[in-house]
Amino acid sequence: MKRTLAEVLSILITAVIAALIFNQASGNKIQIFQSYKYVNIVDFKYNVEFVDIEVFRFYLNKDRSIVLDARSRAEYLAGHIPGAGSFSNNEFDTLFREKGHFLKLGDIVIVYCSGPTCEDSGILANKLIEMGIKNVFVFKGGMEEWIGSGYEITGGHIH
Amino acid sequence: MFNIKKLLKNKTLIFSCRIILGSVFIFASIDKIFHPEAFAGILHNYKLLPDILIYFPALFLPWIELIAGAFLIAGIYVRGSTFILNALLLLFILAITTNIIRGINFDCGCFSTLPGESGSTYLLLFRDLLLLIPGTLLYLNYIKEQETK
Repeated sequence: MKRTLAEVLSILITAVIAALIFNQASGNKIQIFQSYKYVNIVDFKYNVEFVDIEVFRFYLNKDRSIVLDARSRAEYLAGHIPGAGSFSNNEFDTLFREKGHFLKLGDIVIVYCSGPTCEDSGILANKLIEMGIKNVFVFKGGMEEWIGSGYEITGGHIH
Repeated sequence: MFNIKKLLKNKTLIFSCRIILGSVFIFASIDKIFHPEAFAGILHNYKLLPDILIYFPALFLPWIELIAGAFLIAGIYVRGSTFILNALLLLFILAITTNIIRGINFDCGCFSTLPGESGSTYLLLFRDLLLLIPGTLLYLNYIKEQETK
């Protein structure tokens, strides 16, 4: 038993050292001595889960991820997150008829709107969930956090 | 009649158990190692740890899986690796069962940080219970080895 415990301890120490070294060198470094930053759970008003900007960025360019801008078409055209498609609540029925089958092909659908206090993303996410789309999440920080974090936006055409 | 002693004498079986269990844990660790923040989100959604403790397992757990899995396959510290991987399996089973009882919807985060990779929670539980078979065989094998020494 002594030998087993010594081996367990050796493995744990090796793992901790490797993890700390990797974390220091990694682009996705985390601060272990802090409280979990984001409330990534159901909002009291909309029954959807949130993702933070890091998770959002991670999925943004993944092949089977779909990012939707829930704001109006005009706001979308004025500037949106690169890779996001326009999916305004005002045009939900038409857009869902046209693109609903495409949304079902994605592994994850992330919705955003203008900022942490806007409601369009929560409303859109709820509608999508009601229509049977799985893995719908809201990037709560929206355009405000995106721009505030210094990331670029793009304008013009509708995806 | 099922004879466990006879089974434990089968070196190919014991070797296969090491490869299977080790490979599963190595495979499970990779995505989590590269995306600790996403894994922290998954751990948070399990609602079993206070927020201040989320980042510890998010950072260290995948590395423990990787090192123990690799050691088990390589034949280094086999007893310790077996002990750790069995303990992790029991921990996962406990966490999943707790959330099934509490009715909490969560992503497994077992092999990927991608939300929704898990499938049915009962299937997850079954998968972990299934993995306990090679784990238990390896553990019994080392008890037997100790007895014969």
